[in-house]
Amino acid sequence: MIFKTFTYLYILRFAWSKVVEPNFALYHLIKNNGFHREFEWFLESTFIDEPTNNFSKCEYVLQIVIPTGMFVNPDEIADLNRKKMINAFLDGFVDIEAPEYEAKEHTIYIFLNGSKIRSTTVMLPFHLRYHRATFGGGFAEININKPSLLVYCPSGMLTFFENNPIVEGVCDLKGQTKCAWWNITYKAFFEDAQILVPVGNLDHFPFVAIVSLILGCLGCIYVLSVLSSRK
Amino acid sequence: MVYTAETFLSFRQHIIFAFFLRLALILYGNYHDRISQVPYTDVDYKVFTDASRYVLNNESPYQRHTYRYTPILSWLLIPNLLIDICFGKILFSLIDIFAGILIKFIIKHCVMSYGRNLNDSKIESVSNFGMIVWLYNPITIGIATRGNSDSIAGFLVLLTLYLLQCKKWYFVAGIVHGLAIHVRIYPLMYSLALFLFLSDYSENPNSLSKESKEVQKTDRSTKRTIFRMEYLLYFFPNIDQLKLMSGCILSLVLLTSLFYFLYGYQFLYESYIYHFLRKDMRHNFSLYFYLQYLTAGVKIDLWQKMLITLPQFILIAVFSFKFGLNKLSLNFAILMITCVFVTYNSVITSQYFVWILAILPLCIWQIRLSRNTSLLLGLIWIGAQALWLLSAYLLEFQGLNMFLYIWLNSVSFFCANIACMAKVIEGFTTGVKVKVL
Repeated sequence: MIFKTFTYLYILRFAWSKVVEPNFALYHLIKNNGFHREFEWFLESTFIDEPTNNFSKCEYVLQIVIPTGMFVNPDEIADLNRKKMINAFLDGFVDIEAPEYEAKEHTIYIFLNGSKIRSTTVMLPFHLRYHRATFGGGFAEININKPSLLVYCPSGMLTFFENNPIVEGVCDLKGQTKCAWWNITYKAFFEDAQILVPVGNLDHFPFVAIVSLILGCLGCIYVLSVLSSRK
Repeated sequence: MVYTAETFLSFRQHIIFAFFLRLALILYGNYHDRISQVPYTDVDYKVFTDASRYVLNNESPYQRHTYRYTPILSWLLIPNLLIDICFGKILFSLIDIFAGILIKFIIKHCVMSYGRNLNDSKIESVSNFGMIVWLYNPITIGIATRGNSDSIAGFLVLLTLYLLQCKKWYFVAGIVHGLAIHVRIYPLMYSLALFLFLSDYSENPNSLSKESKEVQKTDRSTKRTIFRMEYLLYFFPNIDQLKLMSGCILSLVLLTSLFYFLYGYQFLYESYIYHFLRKDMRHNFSLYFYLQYLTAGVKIDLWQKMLITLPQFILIAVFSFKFGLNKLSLNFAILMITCVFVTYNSVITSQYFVWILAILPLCIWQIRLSRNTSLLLGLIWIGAQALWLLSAYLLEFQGLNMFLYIWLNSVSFFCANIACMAKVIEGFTTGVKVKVL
């Protein structure tokens, strides 16, 4: 009888756990216009902590691959880290002056506070790069990658993440070692975003070249003429 | 009643007031940075402080991406991390004040040497006016209190002119000139004018006799020419010129060797080579910015490069000869060379204007323009700049495609600069008759 009761309780507990399987939802917003913008992500999760199953003790990281059309300024990130406004590690060298066609992708890992994982907001400033001028001008498009939500829970803890794919990422803010993380699925309350960047118009080239070069010379000739006519 | 610089405050009071004005703005800047999204502090100030942090950790300041300044600056600003983040801004403000004092001394010396018809109080008034133009200029105040280091280069250029003209310590002037080039490369373009100033052929119109002035006048009216073959003879150095050159080369070589030894090729590249190879296609005040953007990544023909660089070199050489070879117009030569450099450079940012503003007060007393003309020129210059800034704001912060408009405003700004230069050249006198303020 006692054995049966324990068996039912165990089954019931397992069923309860299934019911409270953590759900993650991510909302995102891109603030400002122009070349200097900011991501704002709002992460919401629902789960019930238990002594053996405390999701707050897990580590959570937002991994974002920054496309070549934009960049995250490493010095700005270092500054935000110092001010404790973010806990982020930027993986890879970022040339903040390079145009889009000479730039490389880089990855940023934003470490989230496990105790606030039920509802947390993350902000990340980023900047757009100059793109190559095109015939007709207008705007170039940058496709924004959706961030990956990576999780690692302490060993021995019952976890619901084991079925998720494992990816490699930096272990901590120092970024010196790589760890295996579960790349968990979340409900994204946003569509794949695109940002438009103004580009120069190559149709302007003949006009711009002629006027710039001739005007430079005319300015020189005019100043020389004023100089030579000085009494 | 004629208002002079001393009507309200004495020389010392101006110095103290100007310093406290800067201190107040530094404090305001701290407050502004806390409450506003658009910071008061210059973005470069963070670069300097980050570089100092590397130095403090026994690392190279060039590990800070985009740090392209002398290592001395990163050393000087270590107290930013140890004492207070405002230390650098206070230091730049102090340098600003010393620059103002140098302006006063240089003008005073020039007026005393050239404007012999003036009494002491008028000399004092003229020199104080120049100092005040620098000390209370909102742009210079803003530059120093926002943490931009460009007043250091301006100060070193002024110190060179002071040592050269007032003290006649040519070797020391050379050392300071070398230091100025090390700190910011642009004073290199003054070298020819400074060299010619010490030439045996350099004239002092005040010391010429009436007859020789008449001969010169008729010579000028019959044969107006900008370049003469005999100018080539001026390149043979005399003792004073050798002192200047050796001082300059010595300090440049010593500083370069020291920092190359400490920080290697990265120092050479970031501090010197980068500035020669720089090709910034992002929007800036330059007439050539859009052309550079449209041709980015494309091999440019030699003739195009020549058309971009030649006007600048021709004008710098002509101004160096024309005004450098005159004992009364070295300051004006430096002013005009700076204007040409800033107007024709392929990258122009607002901080470059400080280079002009540091020299302009030295020459104001020699430039005879009516109040209305001065006001009109000022309005044209500021108006052209304001239009450019508006279109740049719409591109950079609103994401509108404004490239063509920015370029058109760059064209207007270029024309405004050329018009201002032409009027200033027309109004320049060699100071025999001092402008009454």
